[in-house]
Amino acid sequence: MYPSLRSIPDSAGPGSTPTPSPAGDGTERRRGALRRAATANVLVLGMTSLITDVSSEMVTAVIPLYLTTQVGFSVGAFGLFEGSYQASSALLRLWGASVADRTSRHKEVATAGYAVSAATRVGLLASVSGAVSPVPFLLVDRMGKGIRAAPRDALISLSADPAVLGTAFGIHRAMDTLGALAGPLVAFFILDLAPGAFDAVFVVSALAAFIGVLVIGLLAQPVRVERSRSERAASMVQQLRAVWQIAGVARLAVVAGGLAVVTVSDAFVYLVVQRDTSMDPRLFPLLFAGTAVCYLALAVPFGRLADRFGRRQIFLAGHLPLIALYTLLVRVELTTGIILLCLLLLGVYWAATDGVITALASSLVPDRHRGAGIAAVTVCIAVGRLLSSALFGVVWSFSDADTALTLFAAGLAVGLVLGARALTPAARPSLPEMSP
Amino acid sequence: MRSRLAIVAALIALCLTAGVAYVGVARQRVDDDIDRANAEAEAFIEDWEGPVYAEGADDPTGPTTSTTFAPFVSERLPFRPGDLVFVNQIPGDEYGRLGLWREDTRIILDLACDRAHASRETLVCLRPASGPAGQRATIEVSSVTSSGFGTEVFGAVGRPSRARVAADGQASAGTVFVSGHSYLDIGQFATATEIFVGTGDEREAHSVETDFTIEGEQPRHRAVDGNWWGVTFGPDGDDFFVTYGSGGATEILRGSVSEQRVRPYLQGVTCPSLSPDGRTIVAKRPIGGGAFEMVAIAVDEGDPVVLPESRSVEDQVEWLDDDTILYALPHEGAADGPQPAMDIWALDIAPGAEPELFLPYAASPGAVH
Repeated sequence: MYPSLRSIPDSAGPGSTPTPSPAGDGTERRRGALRRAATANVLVLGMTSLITDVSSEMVTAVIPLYLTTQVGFSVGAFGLFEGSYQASSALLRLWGASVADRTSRHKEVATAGYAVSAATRVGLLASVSGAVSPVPFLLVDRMGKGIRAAPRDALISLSADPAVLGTAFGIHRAMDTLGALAGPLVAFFILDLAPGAFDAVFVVSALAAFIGVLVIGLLAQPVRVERSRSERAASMVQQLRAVWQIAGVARLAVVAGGLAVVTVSDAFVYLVVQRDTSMDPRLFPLLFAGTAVCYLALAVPFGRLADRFGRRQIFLAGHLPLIALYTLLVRVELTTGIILLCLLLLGVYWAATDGVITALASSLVPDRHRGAGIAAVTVCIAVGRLLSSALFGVVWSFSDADTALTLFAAGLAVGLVLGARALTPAARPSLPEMSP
Repeated sequence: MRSRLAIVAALIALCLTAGVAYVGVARQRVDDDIDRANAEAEAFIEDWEGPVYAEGADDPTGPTTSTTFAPFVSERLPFRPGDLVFVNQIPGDEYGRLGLWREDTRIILDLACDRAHASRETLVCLRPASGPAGQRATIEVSSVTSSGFGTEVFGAVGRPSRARVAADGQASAGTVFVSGHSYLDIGQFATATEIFVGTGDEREAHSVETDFTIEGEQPRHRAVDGNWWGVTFGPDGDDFFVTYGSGGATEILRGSVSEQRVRPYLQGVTCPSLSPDGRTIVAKRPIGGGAFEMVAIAVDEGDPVVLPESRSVEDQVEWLDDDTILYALPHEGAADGPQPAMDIWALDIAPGAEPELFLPYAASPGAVH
């Protein structure tokens, strides 16, 4: 379905010529960027993410209720558990990505990850009776998520024209976010119909997860990438080392990770808003939804912007709204309008960075290292986020939120200057054409 | 590919049907549970040596759902000494509604409350409001005076926990447990307590945490994990006691509403409740494992005396009169499920007395003095 060896373009700058389109048919080139990006695989993978997110966010939304009323677990303790697990899952992500690359079985590894998560839904159902704790199942669910993330993104990047990767990832992220928005709504709709019937929520979640696995398993097209014999025989460590040494990868990973350290997590932002305002607390859950809606709406447009004007540029510029956001939170009185603006700024940040960084990472590495390349960058970002939360919490508790926000805003400004310098083309040699 | 699409579509349709069917079954199950619990409650109340529970019903043993609804709470005002407001917990349609116990009759009112308290002129009703997607998100304080019914929304994300109104109705207090949200990872026990002063349009809210001065303030009083809860008012409506906890230790402070100040009163106890004559405090003392015993203390003198109630009381104690306290305990066998039920028990604080069941399937007692 798709040529397995392609030249690796620079990340698209203005006026770049699109490389041969997937079907090798000249008419494809005349279609708009959106249509070129929305290939079957991109849509299928987007659909899988959508459905799977409905499944997992349903459960996440009711978990505090469920844990505290039925199981007696404190939300804070679980949050701690999950947070610490995210960091240790770095190894798992790298492993999953590397296996997918070396065997060229991105679809299969991703499907396996979805299947693992779907299986845990059954375990959750068992925990309703109180016989087992839901916590191990939730953690295994996260493991499945870790395993599948990079291979799935690699598959997306292999399924669309390299010139429109930003758009392709934008489409995927938009569908993903839509699922995350819908999940809690479905859960509370069910609980409204049948109060206290958490088993019904978990059953529907399990069914949805199963459908997600079906969609990717049966409808996604695998993309086989040619590897040399030595590459196929390489170990995970050898491959990761090779990927890390690809020009630009380490640099991007460090820049992205560094910026993540000075980015305040959404949760903390909302906490600041809640504490600083006399806003009707009824609207609190809407803060999460508001950001998600903005992200949803802007994911594709910013993806296209990235394809058009440069993914590096858009990625870096996407952090500017955060500086504005932190400044607003510190200096301006938070009216309803300002709060909405804050949500918009967060949404812009996500739209301009989340899919774009993956597109950027994809464009730096050849097909056969795609998974590991993406994983290297995203793992650094994940570690950065963990450090960020710890740092912000510490600074806030020793002084106050305003100091922490100002510190992070300054850190972002410095980080952006350094990052821009580190990522300019002069500093990053262009990649050689791949020979068959 | 097309055949695969068809297979997937068929399986999706199957799963959707299964999902809808299961939710339907769950809904039916919940309804059946409630019906059964309702039947149990009616049987229990019939057997209980208590009187008629439906005002105006022709058949005193008939179903509770034929109780008379008072369409407006203000029609029942002013309350009279001897009245008791409570939250009705007979499973069924009236579960969670405000109840009025007057002349041995259970009158169910058309107001849903999680916690309630009253004085002659004022009713405080803490109720969760539905947030988006059905989540509990706000606390509404309905204050009813003889001049009308008004509701103010006081903000906090969380579950209602405590409500008290002073005897003269001028001051009242509400505490909410601020529970964390799944995304926020803050799950620690956190409360917000407001004292509301004045009535009607002139009602003002003062947060004990931020608006009151603490005499003899210690660093622990400003600890990050500090919480205030459980206000109880003295007969003059100005004197009050409140609990403060931090780092696992609790204490009671005594204060003045008008002066907006508090000072430490007694360590190691929590949740004070002051008798109507202002002479005795009943408070709770932790005995380990999350359980409490109740102690009675003569105000301004005397050591705590442990009360003969072996079951652990979660809620704040209420006084029926100067000698008798009321408190809610889970109803045996009906403490779980979609409509968990509690009973109100009474205990004379004189030595040698035994707890007695006062009002079954009821919680949050608030006696009008």
